[in-house]
Amino acid sequence: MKKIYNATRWLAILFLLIFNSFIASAQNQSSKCPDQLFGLRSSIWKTLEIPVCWESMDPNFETQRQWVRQATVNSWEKNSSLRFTGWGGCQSNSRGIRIAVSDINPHVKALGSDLNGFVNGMVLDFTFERWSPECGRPHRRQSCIETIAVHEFGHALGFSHEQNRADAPACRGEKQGTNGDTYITPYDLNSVMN
Amino acid sequence: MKSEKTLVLVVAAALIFLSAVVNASENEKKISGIGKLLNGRSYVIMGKDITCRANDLARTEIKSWANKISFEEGRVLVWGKVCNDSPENIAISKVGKSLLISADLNIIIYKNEVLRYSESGPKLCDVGLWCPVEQVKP
Repeated sequence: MKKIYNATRWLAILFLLIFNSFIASAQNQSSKCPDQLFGLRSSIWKTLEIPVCWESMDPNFETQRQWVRQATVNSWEKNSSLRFTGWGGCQSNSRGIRIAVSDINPHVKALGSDLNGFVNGMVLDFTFERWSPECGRPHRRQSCIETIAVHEFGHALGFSHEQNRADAPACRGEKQGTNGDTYITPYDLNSVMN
Repeated sequence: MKSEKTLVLVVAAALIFLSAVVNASENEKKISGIGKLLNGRSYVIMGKDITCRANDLARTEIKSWANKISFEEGRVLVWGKVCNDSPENIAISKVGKSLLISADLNIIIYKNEVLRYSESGPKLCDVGLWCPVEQVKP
């Protein structure tokens, strides 16, 4: 009986040694090869439900607001467990992504969860009279609003510009905005974050 | 005698600790005050022939400033060119000595770059900020 106990103990020690060397080897590997990811790790939301609200509920833009919401459903929500919730008017203390509408270059003021509760944290253009007027043409407007919304919500989730990646070809345009620090997928020429 | 020395040392250490705490809180107050003063203000550095590619389908080349910095909600937003849609976002308490502000708040120096306040907002062409290079060439 004592022999069996000793043998089991030695097996357990042997297993721990092998397991430890496996972990050490895996850690060594990951420090040699960059992870194939690209986002800003510190700005990842801690929840799968992210509240969204509009700084102004202008009735003239009801349709455009629906386009934006639907664009996020058909893209980010369709391909993840993430859900954008709320979509009503912002209160002074509203958390989550706060969207303003203005005829300037669409943008976010931070990446990912750094936007949480940031007043006018995301700005979208619905009229395109002063910015990218080509998007103001009736046959282009919906497509522009949806495409831009998907891109800006990508930033709101913590994704940086794809062209900022170290492995992006130089011809893909100049790097702009905050860099990520985590590579998630291989470089994607057709990324919505280009 | 020994206990007196110990007491003196303890009191000195306590005073040093307290002065550090007071200094830190004064600094925080100053930084928070500056943040409130600068809130909503934008500063730009213009430059000749600076352009960037807009994030539209045609990747239109438009005129740009060299850099823009704005202050919102106690944060410093470093935009770079006009085409950028996701600025570097830094807490004002963390920029430290890389940010200098003139007494009249009209000039800031950030990482050795001099940016000027523009009251009516920066303009790059008659229309405002959408200035395709092809259209504004003389």
